[in-house]
Amino acid sequence: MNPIQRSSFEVTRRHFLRDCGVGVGKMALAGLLAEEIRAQSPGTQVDPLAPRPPHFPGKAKAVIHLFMAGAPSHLELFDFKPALSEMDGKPLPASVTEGQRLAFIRSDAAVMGPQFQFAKHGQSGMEISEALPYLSKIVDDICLVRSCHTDQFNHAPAQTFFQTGFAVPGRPSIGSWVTYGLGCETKDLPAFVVLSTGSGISGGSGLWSSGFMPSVYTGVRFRNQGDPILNVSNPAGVDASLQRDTIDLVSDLSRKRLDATGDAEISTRLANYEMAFRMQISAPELMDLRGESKETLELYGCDPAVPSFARACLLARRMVERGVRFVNIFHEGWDAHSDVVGNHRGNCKTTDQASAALIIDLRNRGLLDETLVVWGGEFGRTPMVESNAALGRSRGRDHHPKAYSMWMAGGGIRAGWTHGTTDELGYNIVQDPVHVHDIQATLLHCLGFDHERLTYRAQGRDYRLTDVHGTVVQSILA
Amino acid sequence: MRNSFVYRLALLLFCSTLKANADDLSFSRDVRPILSDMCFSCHGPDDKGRKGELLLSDYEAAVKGGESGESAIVPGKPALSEMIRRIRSNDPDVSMPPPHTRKKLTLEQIGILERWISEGAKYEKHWAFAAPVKPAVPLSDFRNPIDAFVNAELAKKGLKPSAEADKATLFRRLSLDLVGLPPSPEELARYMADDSPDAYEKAVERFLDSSQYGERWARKWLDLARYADTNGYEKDRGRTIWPYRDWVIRALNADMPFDQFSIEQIAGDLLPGATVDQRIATGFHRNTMLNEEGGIDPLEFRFNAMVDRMATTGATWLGLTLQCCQCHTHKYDPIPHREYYAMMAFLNNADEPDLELPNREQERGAEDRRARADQLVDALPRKWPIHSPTEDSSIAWSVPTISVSTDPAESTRVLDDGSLLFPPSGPASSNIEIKFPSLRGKFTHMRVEALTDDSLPGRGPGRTPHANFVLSEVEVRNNGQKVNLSSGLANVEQFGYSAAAAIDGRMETGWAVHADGKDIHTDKSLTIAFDTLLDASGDTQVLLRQQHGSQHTIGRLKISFGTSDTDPAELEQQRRESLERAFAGWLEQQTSSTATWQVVVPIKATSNLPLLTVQPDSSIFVSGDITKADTYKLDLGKTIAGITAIRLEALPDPRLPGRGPGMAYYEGPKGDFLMGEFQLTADGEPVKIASASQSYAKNNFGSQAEASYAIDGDPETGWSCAQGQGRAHEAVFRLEKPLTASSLQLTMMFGRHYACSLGRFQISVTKDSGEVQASKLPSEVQGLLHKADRTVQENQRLKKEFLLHAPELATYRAKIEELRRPPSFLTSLVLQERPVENPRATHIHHRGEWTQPTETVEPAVLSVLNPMPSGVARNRLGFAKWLVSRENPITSRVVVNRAWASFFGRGIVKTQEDFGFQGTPPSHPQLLDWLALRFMEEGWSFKKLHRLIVTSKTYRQASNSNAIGEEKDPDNVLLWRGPRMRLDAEEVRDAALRSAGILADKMYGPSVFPPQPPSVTTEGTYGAMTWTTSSGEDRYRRSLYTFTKRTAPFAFGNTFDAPSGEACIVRRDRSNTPLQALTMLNDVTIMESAQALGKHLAQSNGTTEQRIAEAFARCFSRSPNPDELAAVQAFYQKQEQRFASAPESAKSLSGDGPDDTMSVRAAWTAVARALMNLDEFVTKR
Repeated sequence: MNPIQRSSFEVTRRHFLRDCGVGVGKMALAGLLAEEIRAQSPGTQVDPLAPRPPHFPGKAKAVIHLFMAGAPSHLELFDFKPALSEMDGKPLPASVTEGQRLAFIRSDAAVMGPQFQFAKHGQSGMEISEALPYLSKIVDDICLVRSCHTDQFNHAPAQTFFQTGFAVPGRPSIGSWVTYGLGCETKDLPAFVVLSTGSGISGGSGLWSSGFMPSVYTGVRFRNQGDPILNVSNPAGVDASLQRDTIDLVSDLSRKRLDATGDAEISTRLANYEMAFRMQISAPELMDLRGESKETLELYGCDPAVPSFARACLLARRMVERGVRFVNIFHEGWDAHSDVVGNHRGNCKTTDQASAALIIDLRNRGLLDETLVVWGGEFGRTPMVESNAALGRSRGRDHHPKAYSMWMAGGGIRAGWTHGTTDELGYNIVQDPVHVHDIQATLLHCLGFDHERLTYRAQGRDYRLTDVHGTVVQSILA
Repeated sequence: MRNSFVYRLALLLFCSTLKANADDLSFSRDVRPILSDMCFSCHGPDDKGRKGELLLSDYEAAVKGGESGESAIVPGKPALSEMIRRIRSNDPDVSMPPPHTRKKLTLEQIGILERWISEGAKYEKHWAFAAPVKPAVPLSDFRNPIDAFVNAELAKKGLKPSAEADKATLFRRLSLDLVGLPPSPEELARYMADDSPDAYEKAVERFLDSSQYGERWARKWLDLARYADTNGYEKDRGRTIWPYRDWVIRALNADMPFDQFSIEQIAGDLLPGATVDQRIATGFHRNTMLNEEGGIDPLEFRFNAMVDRMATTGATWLGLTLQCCQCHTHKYDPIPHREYYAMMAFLNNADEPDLELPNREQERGAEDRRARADQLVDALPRKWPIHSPTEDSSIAWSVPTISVSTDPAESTRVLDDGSLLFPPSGPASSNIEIKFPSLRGKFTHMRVEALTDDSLPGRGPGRTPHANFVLSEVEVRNNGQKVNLSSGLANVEQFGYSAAAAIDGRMETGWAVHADGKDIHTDKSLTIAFDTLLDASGDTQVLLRQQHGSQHTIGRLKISFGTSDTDPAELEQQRRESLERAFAGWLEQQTSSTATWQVVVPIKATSNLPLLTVQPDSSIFVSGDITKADTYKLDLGKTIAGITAIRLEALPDPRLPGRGPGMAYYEGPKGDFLMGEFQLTADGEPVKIASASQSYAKNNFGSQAEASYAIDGDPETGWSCAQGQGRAHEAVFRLEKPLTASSLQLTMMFGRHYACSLGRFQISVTKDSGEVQASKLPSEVQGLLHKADRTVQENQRLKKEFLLHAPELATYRAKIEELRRPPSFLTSLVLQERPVENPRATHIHHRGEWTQPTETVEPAVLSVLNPMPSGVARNRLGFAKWLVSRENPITSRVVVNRAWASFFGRGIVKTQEDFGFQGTPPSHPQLLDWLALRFMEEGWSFKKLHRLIVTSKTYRQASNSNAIGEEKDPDNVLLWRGPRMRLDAEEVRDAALRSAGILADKMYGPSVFPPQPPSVTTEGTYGAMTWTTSSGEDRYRRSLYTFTKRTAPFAFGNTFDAPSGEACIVRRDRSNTPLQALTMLNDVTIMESAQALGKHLAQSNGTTEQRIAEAFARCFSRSPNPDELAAVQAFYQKQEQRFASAPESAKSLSGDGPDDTMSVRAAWTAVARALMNLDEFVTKR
């Protein structure tokens, strides 16, 4: 998308009135004003969320990003390094650690061997940790990237970097870019949805912010307690018929104002009341898992009554089915500065089954081909042990930005493939490094975007998700 | 089809914004934007990325050409110009811009360039960098020059201005614009009734004089200042900087001239005799975020904050995208990489303390408390216990008959010996009131005995399973008067629960009996002496309060009264003697256990980064930046012979965070420190340290923090004094063997997962032998112990110290310490220029990377703008003066443009944040310059500027559309109609509260917490924050005062595009979304507003029509027309009937009030809610 196209949004709302004529009749609640408006003139971009084609046909139509916030240890889960066991208790050579900035430990901290057993699985023979028994069964569906690396070594900046391509909050998130590029397919749900499980996310709301883009591209939170979308329920004492009467009155009075003032913004607002009303129906329907079979619930390990990572994954599938473009599930809790074994056992127990179930479920429903699933954190963890009496820590691992693992599956990604290699310490990448900007470029590619052409003009220049970096990782594409 | 649309649109935009016509071609307006957008990223100011050695942003260079040798531009001859040849070429190897950039010039653009070259290729200085020249006001009948300028442009386009908006609409617009609120019904009525010709002008003055004016315009300024109440990033902890917010409100209400307003915010601390307010003003640049994540490098994030300050300064004052130059020379504007850092150097030389705000009331309170503490200290000798009263045979005891009441009620039994037995299972806490109707006589003492009994758990005397109790407080009343109790002594005391604690007036302390090494299951007694003789005449009352909880109550007790026949004078004599004996013993013990210390003044004190300065008192003060791994190296030179131990005193200082002794300022408690290692070298050889002791140790994270951890070889563990901030502490390091060195070097290492170096300390040595230990006594008292000829005052000082440390008086000491605690003053974040001896160097950073500093730069202003005014210092103050100097071509334009945009929804320069080459050219360049100059001439007065704008006919036009205007100028750039736009987030919420009549007018103070769903701050945010909803008027304050948490912003504001405070925001988005609809329909504040308005309408006297009219007046400042009236009336009647038959719904919706009017209230609430959901409610029109 070029800046000219972008600026077309700015002339939108006021223009459409001229183009489609003043006077929008009173509409019933079920009326589809937005579509009417969209249908008025194929060339007129009334709605900044109108569906738009990408640069080229992309394989993926939607993305589910399972963000493992806090940063899982590649050494315990994906990247087996027996050499570390041999060096257990000894420091790494200074030549390896030289110049490395570390968050909590000192560079002469001792090595700690991998804490879990690994085995090869599937036809692909992908080597995976015993901590991920469910993932091990679907390795032939996923692509494991062992050579991810990032610029940041602390949580908030690294999470912000992964989500926005920049370490300081203020730029649009991946989901915002995708929504900006593709628009919204669903008529009654947001295009970009954010869920969170586990403990609190370090990066905060900047991780799904639209930054300098219009705020319609901001991710909409689905919450675990109270209304899934804030204020989606009617207040006490307001039933559906009062709500209907209210919106009818609003429509009626608004129409009169529209006639009097000619302010097209009024029509846009009315269309949004229509959509709000639909959301009031569709959001509870989305959250209602009674229609899911026992087998499906068991596949995910999901108790419909309890907010959990498993429920979030199942909801993500339901959202994608309903046309949501981008689902971000933040699962925070992998920050194992102490007791990496206990921490990762716990987090794997929470996430492994449902992550694998999501792939299986999407595949069984024929959705996997057009849904890109991304699983991973903001960085990896050090081969060196973290133990600090003053902080009460032992047998943990510190932050490691120079090498870590992620996996992807579905929508345009090569299945059963392992990409990239780290050195025998899991410290540096020795083959096929994949920078965060490369992941972003690849993700956009799967959706049909040239990451260098998907730009947005702000502050006098054209911004990209990938700044001036990023290369599509061709060899992980299907 | 899509492409053709885009092309069509491009043409439309192109034609409407550039307005190129045959008459005049402007380089700035027509040509440079094309060159800038299409060419400058490779052939612009940045020589690093320049291609083909060709520079097109300069006439000489463009004519000369690049490495190909061809002239890019041949003036007058476009056909011979290489630039045109390449632009027109289809050969991918030659064509420009190169195909990979995917940029392509339109035919129109090429035409403009060709015409420009054929006309001589004249370059002009970019309009915004050239000083504004006062234009002649176009001739017209308009009194207000704004109208003359605007109408001249309209006329050129064949457009006519709209008629004036109707009176009420205009008044609502004015109210929203000047004070950010819709008018109250009273204001509206008053205005509508005023038929005088200057009614409008008078209304303008009223609004300008209103204190709400400052609140409205402060919010706009706070967007630029990126104000928030939390630190941002992961931890996002709270901060106190609302005094800055209040400063902005006050400054705007006082119409502080903008130049002064700017200078105080950028450099108020540097003004001569800077006031507290001027220092608070520097909070502007303290609104940067603070990363408290444990693993970060604090200096890296300080650098990020500097980058933010540069971007904010650029956007706020200069309208320039300075942030582009962090990594490289600006691709478009003539701002070199180096100049960016040179300008940063002005701002980069400040420390960032919390300023304590003096408060007379608090200071007076502290003085009073100190005086009371001094009195208590003076009274301590009289509190000295004489002897153990249980052994005092001189007292004759009698046990009077009693009557008892207990709270909570318990059955009690009086035993034969006069004691009182309670049931074995007691309440958690209890108050016992005992009366002695038969007590007669004069008494000096009272005794409370806690006795064992087989019926009690574990036989008593207490009723916990392990038989303990805590007697929190004993009170005695005689004839209704409280009796002063002078001392309390017990035969057994539990550590920390002395007998005296039962008469100290504090419920949280008390007497308990579970003492080490003593059998708890024995009778215990507490003897209390009366201050004066108790004269009993049948109305004596004893209150025993036991408030420790968990059944810590006495199971069986007996009260006796007694009289000592000892002569009071003799008693006093005994007391004095006893005290003197104890003092002498203490002195002897302290003198022998305290070493003779000799302070060492280092010859040299250095560190990796912070500056160590020897103070006049020989202590060392540390200033400047600290890191997570600081090392102090002290050269102690040749010290006394035979050193046996070294003492390190960690000293508080008001200049340090939390008053020191440490310098921690993030993540850990302010003023915390952790000394990881303490190492000595004598004549180049390491000195072995045998042991370490300390006066105090506590770790903020984890448990181990004793001084011995500073000599264990592990820098991650060390000595720390958490929760001991603001006090002195000492550690003593004993050497393995006496040391005599000609050169003694001391190395101290500080830091943990956050920076926490020591901020002030002193080093002493001793040659005393024996087990030299750290002392809890202040060092000057330690010194006195060994002084040969002490003065009277010195002896008194020692005695005071003794009294304060004597275990016998421990409870009084606690009270004294509490009274002496300094008040915790309100603070605000400020800037403070670094001392001349310790400036912070500013480097150029390669590619903007913190880790890649290159050469240092001296402060300098941008060369493309005006030079520094003469006579100003090259510091932050000089920089501030430069920003608002009359010679600065850009600042005044940026500021008036922003004001213009506030009223009209769009700036004269649309890109308010970018006046550079990539910004949009001004729609009314002459008007902009005229306003900019006028603004300065009129003393940079916002109120004058705002008055000028709102009294123009341009502003007062109706905002309705018309067909001609929509066709010729759909975006209303030329202002053929009045402004119309959605209100800002805060204004929407405030309008709801104001319309409902529940908006609180309380100004200033700490931010408040209006209701929002708890999940906003608890779910998904690190360290989930509990949003404790404010009550009372704080629930309904103006949204300006709502607590802003950066990582989880207030939901209502967020939905309506309020910023998160993470970056400077010049232009807010004005979105229109379904989430806004849900908010207006269902949000709790809107609902409460609807209920309040509904209740008001239900209670008002009038017909349904009149009530609807009032609702319209309150919500829209106008009357309903007949259609509207009919529609709302029908709605009301339908809902009223429905609620009459649905009482449950009616009750929920109607809120507070009597049941019989419930359905009416509910129906009016439904009406109010519907009206608040109209576009008109959230729109300025």
